[in-house]
Amino acid sequence: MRNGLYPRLAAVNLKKNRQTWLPYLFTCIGTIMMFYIMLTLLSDPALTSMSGGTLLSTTLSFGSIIIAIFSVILVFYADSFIIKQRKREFGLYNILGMNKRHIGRVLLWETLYTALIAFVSGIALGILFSKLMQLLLLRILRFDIRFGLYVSPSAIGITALLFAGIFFLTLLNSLRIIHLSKPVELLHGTQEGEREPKSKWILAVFGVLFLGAGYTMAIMTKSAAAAISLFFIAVICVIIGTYLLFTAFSIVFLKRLRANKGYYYKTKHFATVSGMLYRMKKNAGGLASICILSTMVLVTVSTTVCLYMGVDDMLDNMYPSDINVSCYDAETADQRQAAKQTVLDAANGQNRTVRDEQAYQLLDFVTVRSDNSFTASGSAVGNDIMTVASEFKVITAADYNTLLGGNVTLQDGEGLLYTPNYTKNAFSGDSLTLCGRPYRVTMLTSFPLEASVSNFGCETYFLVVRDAGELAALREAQTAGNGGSAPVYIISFNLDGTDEEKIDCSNAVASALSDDQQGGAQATDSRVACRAQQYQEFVSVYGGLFFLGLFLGFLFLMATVLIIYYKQVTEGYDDRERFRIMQNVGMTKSEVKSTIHSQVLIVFFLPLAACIVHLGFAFPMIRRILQMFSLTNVGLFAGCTLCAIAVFAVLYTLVYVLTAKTYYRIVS
Amino acid sequence: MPILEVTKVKKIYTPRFGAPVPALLSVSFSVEAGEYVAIMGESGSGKTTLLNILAALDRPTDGEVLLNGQSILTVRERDLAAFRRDNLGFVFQDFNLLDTFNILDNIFLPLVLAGKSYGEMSARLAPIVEKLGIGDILEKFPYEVSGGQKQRTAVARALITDPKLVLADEPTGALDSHSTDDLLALFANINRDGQTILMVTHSVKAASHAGRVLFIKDGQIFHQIYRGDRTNEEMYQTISDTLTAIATAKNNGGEVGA
Repeated sequence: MRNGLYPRLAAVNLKKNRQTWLPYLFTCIGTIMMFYIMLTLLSDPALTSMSGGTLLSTTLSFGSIIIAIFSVILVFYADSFIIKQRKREFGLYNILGMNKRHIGRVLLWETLYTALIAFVSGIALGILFSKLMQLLLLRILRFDIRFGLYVSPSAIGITALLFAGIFFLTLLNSLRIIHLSKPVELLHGTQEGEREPKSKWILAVFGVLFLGAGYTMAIMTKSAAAAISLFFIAVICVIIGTYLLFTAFSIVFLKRLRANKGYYYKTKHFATVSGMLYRMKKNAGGLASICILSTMVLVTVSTTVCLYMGVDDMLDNMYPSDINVSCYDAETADQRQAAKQTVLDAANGQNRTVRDEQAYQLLDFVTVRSDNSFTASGSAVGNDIMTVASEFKVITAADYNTLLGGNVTLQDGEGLLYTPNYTKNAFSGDSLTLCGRPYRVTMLTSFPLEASVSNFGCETYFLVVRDAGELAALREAQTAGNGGSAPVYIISFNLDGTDEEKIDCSNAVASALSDDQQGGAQATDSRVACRAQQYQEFVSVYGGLFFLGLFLGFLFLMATVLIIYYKQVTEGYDDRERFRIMQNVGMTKSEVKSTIHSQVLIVFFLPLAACIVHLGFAFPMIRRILQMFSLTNVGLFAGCTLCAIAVFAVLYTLVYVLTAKTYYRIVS
Repeated sequence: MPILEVTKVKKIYTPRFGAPVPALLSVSFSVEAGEYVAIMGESGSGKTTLLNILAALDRPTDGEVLLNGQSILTVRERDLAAFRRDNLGFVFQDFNLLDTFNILDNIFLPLVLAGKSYGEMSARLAPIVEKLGIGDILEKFPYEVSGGQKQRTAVARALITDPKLVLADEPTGALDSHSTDDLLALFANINRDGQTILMVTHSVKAASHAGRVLFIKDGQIFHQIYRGDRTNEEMYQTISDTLTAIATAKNNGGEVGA
């Protein structure tokens, strides 16, 4: 054969198969573009050089690895789908006298064309959109917009290498499929007699069990730490459960319906039930994948959006004041006074006005509760610290009065107790024993330090005791179990001025304190936290995650769209014959259309429905994990989740409407 | 009164480009209740067009088709499917069984579409299953049974609605000789029980079992043979001779119409 034949044949083939090839090409272009953009952002000096840049590049490199893995899976899936669809065509070539080597050469040219087109347009679009993405990222990170287009040759190189590898692998895979098949099989290709699916009871039961286990874990977990450790187990349970439910349970369920004669032999149900059996057999895997991908999209997007939007909330929780100073070894009143003086002097030295100043001693320790007795036994708590522990934050009545401007006096053995009441079984009563010391307590309904609750998600109790002596005694009492930390002296205050000025002030305070410590006399070990500084870090971490969430969300969405599209196309070819026969046997065109339409609708929206149920169950668990990030605003998370679902449902429906058109073009 | 009356049916296909193509020129014949009629003709003779018109799948350019005295041409488009379901039974060359249904459900299909209850469906099923000898494959699926069994399933599906007329389109076309014999015996059998059958075929063997054979050529009824008291073998010989005569007449450039 002449040499020019193969390239020409390959070009003609691609054109003829455009219905399946074009989506494949677009997928390749899309993944190449996204991978390139991610790599470019990763090496963009405008981003890496700014503060928080290292955190950002960690996030982005994590993202590019995910995109790379996902690209392999996606491109592979699409390629083997196309090859299976084209078996008949290859069979024909075989019959017409081309042997498998010749077919291989045609495939080679096809892959070359696809790779070339995909790479050139992918990189071109990548360069175009990388600027847009850079602007978006800068905007998300609340940084100033910079001008100039950055093209990264190394990013182009890495992308080229990765995708050359992927295309090479897909070619090998196609050749393997062609090589393993016999010409007669190739010719019959997709038309093998479809066996009726078997009921797999055990798998169906396992599916229900796995899903149930995952859901139970999600609902029953009461603490944030347990939520984190169980989250991945729950996710895996739900993934396995989803696959089993779609593959085995659906078949068992449909067969039960079919066994019910009164239900099955109705015009409405007859064709739908039996049709669904086969559809589920063929598509269960794909549908389960769509369901899980969709859930991933929604979880990723809703949590990252929520974290990003909740940055201010989180800061409020963790850093109630502009400047927070903790002094650790300030045992005597003199030391405390000196530390406070140093801090205030340093702040005033920066020409800042200090407002809302608070200073108090806080004894903070962990106990284990049994009924109304709390014992300090750190070792017994062990790894379960977050699940069984109760945290106590104890201050003196004098400090309480200063904080509140009140005038409370307590007798010996009396106390005031406050708990933010996160869980229903939090302590509430009038007497408790803390580390062997009995207290008659009066419950408070609010507390000045309320915002500084534990972010471990365990019970937090604020206790006000009579005086410094009682505080010292309590410290002694809990030392046995916990190794005893001294009360921390906390000074916090707000400042006027800009963020930069606040950060400068915080640095001045820190160095003044450290000078003091070097100086000797009134030395205390201390830590200074500035809200404005934390703010920048938070934004770069959560902004990076937010960006990544949107980016990956888009990638997952693309994968979902592709799987849905290919599913519709295969279904269309299968249904064409069925359509014709049903009409011959006496179904009207509209009847046929409506039964098939209802089946397509079920198949299409089943994954979305399952995905929303998954999200519903995941909600309480993710909420607890977010609590760990000091994000306690449930309303915000609920809002983000609902918005994400709404946007996704609209996009999903849009995809349906578009692919349904292709489907009906095929069947009629 | 004849069960089917076809009067001067004409069908002309008008392609978007080029001259109109006449498929049927003027076809008239009638079928009495209980008759077994075969229509023979070569590919392109117009027999498929005729069958499609009788099945109300296609409309003639001109002429009239009466089924049981009622014109099938005046049935409204949306009532056509129900009309076909209630009055006609179909047997196709390639069986047209749905591979997602087992044999039983394939047979039930038209009744389910007609909204019959399960009790009534089972009652109707029993005698047909017995007559066709498919009792032991009801739970199987089309891909699990032989061609002959598939075609008997299709016959059962055609008969279960108790149609006025069974239309068979090349029913032996996809069967081996043994299954062909079985099926033809079956057709003769159900015809003896009073079922009217109209079969389109180009197999001499299939046609030789019919009570009357119509020959169609170039869009017209060309000739017809009544069985009278001929045996199947004699009928086979007569049909063969007629076909030879038709072919010879054409080769000699002879006039159409004997």
